[in-house]
Amino acid sequence: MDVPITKPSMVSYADDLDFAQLLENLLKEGHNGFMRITQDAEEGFIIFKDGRQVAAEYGRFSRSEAIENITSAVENRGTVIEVFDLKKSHIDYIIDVNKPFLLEADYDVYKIIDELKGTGTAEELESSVSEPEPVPEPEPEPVTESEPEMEAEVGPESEPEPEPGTEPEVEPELEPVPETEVEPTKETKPVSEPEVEAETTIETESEPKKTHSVADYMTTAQNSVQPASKDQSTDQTPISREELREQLKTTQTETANEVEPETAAQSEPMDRSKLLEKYGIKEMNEDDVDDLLDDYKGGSLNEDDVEKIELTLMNKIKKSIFGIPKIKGTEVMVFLDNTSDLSGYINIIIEYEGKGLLSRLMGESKDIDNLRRQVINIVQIEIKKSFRKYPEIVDKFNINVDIT
Amino acid sequence: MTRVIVVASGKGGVGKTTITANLGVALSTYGEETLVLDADVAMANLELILGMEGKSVTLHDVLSGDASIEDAIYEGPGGVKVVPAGISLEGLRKIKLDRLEDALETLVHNIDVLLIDAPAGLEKDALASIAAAQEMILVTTPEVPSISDALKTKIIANKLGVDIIGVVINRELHDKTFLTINEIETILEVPVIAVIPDDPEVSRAAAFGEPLIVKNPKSPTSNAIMQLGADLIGEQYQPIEPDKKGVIAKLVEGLLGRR
Repeated sequence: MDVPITKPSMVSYADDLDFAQLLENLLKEGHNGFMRITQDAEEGFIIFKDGRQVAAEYGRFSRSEAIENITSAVENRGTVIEVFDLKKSHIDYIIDVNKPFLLEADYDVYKIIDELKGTGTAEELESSVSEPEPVPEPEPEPVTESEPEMEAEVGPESEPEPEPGTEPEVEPELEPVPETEVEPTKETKPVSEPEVEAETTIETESEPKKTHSVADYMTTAQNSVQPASKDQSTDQTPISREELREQLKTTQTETANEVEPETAAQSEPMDRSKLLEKYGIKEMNEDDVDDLLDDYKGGSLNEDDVEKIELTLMNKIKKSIFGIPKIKGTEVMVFLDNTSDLSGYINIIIEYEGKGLLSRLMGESKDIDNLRRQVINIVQIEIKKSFRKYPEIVDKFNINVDIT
Repeated sequence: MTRVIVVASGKGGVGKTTITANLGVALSTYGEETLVLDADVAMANLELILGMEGKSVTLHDVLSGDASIEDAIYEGPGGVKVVPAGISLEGLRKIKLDRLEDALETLVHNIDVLLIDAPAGLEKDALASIAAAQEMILVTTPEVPSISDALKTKIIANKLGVDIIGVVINRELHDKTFLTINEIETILEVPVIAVIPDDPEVSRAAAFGEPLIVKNPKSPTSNAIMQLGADLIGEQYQPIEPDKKGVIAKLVEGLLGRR
């Protein structure tokens, strides 16, 4: 949320104040500004206009979910609450830049964005699209005299829920409203003109969502006090934290059905291939992976390759050894080990054409040592030639030469 | 049994080194004998974050065959052991990555967790770091290029038989223009194990050459990394709450107009 952090007008720990009372006071004052709520690693904001909560964010939650989380956060010891004041002329701009967090129904366009991102449901999309503007009174409510008052209060801010702001008795009446009218709104259609009706019926589908959101319930709680302060007719009991929690519990169960589609959409598995396509992410194909790993550390070999290499190396070594004079015959055996890194054993048996008895006695052992060294050199050269890109592999070969 | 965990990302600049350094310190504070190895021999930064630059023997020397790995181990903040990569580019050509595995074999004795800060990309040095580990923590930011590269890294790791513990989403901004946690999990097919918020304190701590969880243990990032460390080893972590001083600091911050 983008808010200008300046000097807070109030700082307190949540356990040092009554949060509900604070909200009530802000409402009474007609506060313009915002509140920052910090608990541990999480930070949240509520923007107030004329004392009413108009936008909220808490951690990764926004709107009514944010309010729910803030309400829980303020129950914790150590949560810091800061109140920041803004000029009335600034608040609209702040609201404008924080549209995604607005609690109002007419900002459901952001739900459409959610849905386009694959998190919403078709019905939500339908209802959101067909909500060009909030209609304050979509259905006849038992509350009559308080409606004009609410409209006056709400002003241009297009608060879509007039009912909550009446008197405390409205609450029980509110509960059945969404339950009875969420689905069967189709039946209410054939009342009057078809065009307007179409709008209002859609509105009635979506409106309870807002009317009974946690955020609005908190506003309701405050609004329920505000008229009292004006009329002095109803009892002006401030809402305690326990009461608020109690109300929230009932509201949460009430709103569960409404919130469900959205949260269910978020939790239900997304189509991975669609997501990859949407973001233009390409998966590596098997060949690319193999190529990459082949380049790494001399590459990997399959069993057929191993046999071919063994045979090729064997022939090359044999051919080179026959180039040495006085070699009557040779056998070369190459065994490659491809389990982790490529390594191997090379056994060579050489039949050497010896000299006479005297020369044997004089120093044939020296010749044999020289021959062994020469053969090993030849083998190493052949290995290096065969693995040009990875000559270090020669160190992983065990070469054994027997001369008879 | 030593756990060898590589912290990899694919894309560079996602905060991999910062997370590795701080996670190493976090694990160490939980009493785990932890060693952090900076395997990014070409772009070594770990020592800067931990304030340990200028060490005489580094991984460079070990991979060049000029020193043994034991000589390159230093004690860092919070008691974490550190093998710096060495910032000098000299001798890069002398490096033989084959020696990394030998070095690791020596390192795993007497430690509980070996954290490897892998280089970005999928070059040989990065692959060598991944292949040397048993487990991997994939770090990404919630942006498409970062997730795309993380996906490649994950596929390679799977092919190399490395277990992927999960994804750490770094620099989370709660912005709708970025991918959601759900989307990231779906694309990578790996659970998100930590979400670390975008936090200017990280840069400040790096400027001081101190790991954030030491410099500012109450910051959201520190709490998130401590929680990640606790989850890795099955410990409980109670986030550090801001104290009165924190509130005053916030007031001062507010007066200065900073957020």
